Amino acid sequence: MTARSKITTAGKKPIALLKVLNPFHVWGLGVGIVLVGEFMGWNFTVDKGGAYASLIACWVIGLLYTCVAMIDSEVSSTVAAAGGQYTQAKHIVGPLMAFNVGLYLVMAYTMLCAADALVVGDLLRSGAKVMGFAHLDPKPFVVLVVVFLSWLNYRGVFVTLTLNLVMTLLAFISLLVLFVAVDPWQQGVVLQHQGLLTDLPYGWIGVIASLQFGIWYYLGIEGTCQAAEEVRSAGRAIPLGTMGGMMTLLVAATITWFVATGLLPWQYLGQAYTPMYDAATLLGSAQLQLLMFVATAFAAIASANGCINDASRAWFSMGRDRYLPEFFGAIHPKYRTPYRSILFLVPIAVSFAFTGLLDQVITFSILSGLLGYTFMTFNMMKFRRMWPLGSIHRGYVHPFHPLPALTLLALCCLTYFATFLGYGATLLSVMSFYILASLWFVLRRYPYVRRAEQFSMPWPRPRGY
Amino acid sequence: MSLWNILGYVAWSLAAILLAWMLVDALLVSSQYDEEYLMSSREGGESPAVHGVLPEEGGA
Amino acid sequence: MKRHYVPPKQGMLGQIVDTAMVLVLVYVSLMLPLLFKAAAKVENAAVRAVDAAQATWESLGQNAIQQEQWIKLGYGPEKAAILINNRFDYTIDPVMLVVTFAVIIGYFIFLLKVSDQQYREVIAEKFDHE
Repeated sequence: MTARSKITTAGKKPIALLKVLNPFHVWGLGVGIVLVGEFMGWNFTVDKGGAYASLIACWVIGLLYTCVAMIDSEVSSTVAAAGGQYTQAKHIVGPLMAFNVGLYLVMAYTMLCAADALVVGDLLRSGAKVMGFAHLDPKPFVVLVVVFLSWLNYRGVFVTLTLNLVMTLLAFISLLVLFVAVDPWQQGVVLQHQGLLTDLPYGWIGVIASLQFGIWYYLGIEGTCQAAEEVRSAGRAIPLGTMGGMMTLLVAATITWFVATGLLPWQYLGQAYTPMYDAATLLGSAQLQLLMFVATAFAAIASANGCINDASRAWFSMGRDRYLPEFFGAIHPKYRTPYRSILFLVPIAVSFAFTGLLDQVITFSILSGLLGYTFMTFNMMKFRRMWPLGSIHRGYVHPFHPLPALTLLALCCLTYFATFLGYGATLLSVMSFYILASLWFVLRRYPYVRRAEQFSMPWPRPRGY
Repeated sequence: MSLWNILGYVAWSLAAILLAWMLVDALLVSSQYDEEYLMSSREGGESPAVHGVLPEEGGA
Repeated sequence: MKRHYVPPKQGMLGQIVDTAMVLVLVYVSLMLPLLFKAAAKVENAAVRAVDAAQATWESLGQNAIQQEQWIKLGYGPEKAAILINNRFDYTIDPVMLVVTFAVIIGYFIFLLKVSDQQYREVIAEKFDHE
């Protein structure tokens, strides 16, 4: 239509994501996605095996994630690219694995984002109820949360993740406030552990079953490496932010367990939708109740925000390599964000939120995460074998290899078994999804992918290939 | 109509406006810039660890 | 030396079809487990409602402190019974267990095998030319 010519590559540097983030943003991104799990969701472990099972799950899965954080810090401080584990898989294991890992990331985060938005909607509904309006329709608010956060993400990564940092910090501080408020050093005054803690109601099988939801305590911390192309110094910021985040979460998870099990009977706690808010209600303080209400909302919004950030980076990277339609590999010339991927995931997150299958969606999300951790074990073994220490520059080297990788593999197997106990049918249907998607990739998508260009790191030829 | 109902409509319209803003902006970008340029990013961005010289290999 | 692989360029329509394909797969696998579950849920709910009607704190095995917290939460024994009697069944079907693990292990072996093949091609093209 117009004669005006378009702005082209000629004479310009290639477009790139904006490098503006520091280690605190990485911490905010990692912890922000997860922290909502301490306000709700973790308590399903109590339902599965009792209060003590939940504590064991908290620490066993904590160990699983410590391995994840160690492995991830080493690999992603070396493979510093958006896409995180996807890019790692592409460089270390191979294209089909990479495609699957990319899908795990997108599915895990988009579904988590949907669940977070639902949480905000539910909170508003119960808030409206307290204020005398019984039948609030949460739908418009759920949509608004997803659209508004996508808009923020679209407009630039700095504001998005600074907001995340602030909200996450406030939510974390409010957990500490709740901890101090229950007078933790004195039993029997506010906390009633001696009366409320029971023996394991299902025995040890319940402990194993609770591992499935134990993932909630930490799911998403590994998303920190999606920011690799946007932090100022990836080799330093990613290990620092990830490990710092992991420590924060271990503290937060233990505090959460301690406070909640000291106030609520386990059968109630295990089936509550807003356990921390309920715990505050029992204390009879309106301020604490309001604090928990706001903190839960903040945690959920921060989580949805981080999920949009991570899912869009993974989708974008796959588009850039043509694993998915290359259309998605575009970067906004002004805001320097993967804007098409962000926009595309909006209707998908909203549709997941409205399927009414929350537990299905959550299980799909948890399993996608778990498949990703299983991948990390082979990834780490191959990484050290193909490029031994000293052959390439690593931003961080984790100690005790191969112990973390082997521990991780063993814990993953145990968690698959836990999922089998609770959601066997979902487990199989999720597996069939990834199997079909893999076949589709091999037969249909891979012909569009360039070969040598996939390997973008300036590394020497891997040993054994 | 109560306050909450009004808030619901406000939320719907805000969501619609933001979504429309993003869509229009995305279309404008497509009309002003060449696809080739929009997709010219390289994996690893400008990271020296990926495309530049590494500190310990700098002298080699 | 092997020829450099040049992929075909995909048109917009093909890109749209491929995107839709992923979405269809996701929704189908989300809906699938529902087919098994819907029937089981209705049965359970009916059984629980009958039990709950005659519950007392003693029959539910709640001690004094637990009772106190339930009451603070606004729960009487009838209402609490629904939560307390909602128990999981952890009996393991060995056939399903074997099938499930076979699927997971088979899936990963398939991934690693095919990936390795594709990866060798990538490495050959990248490094053989230099």
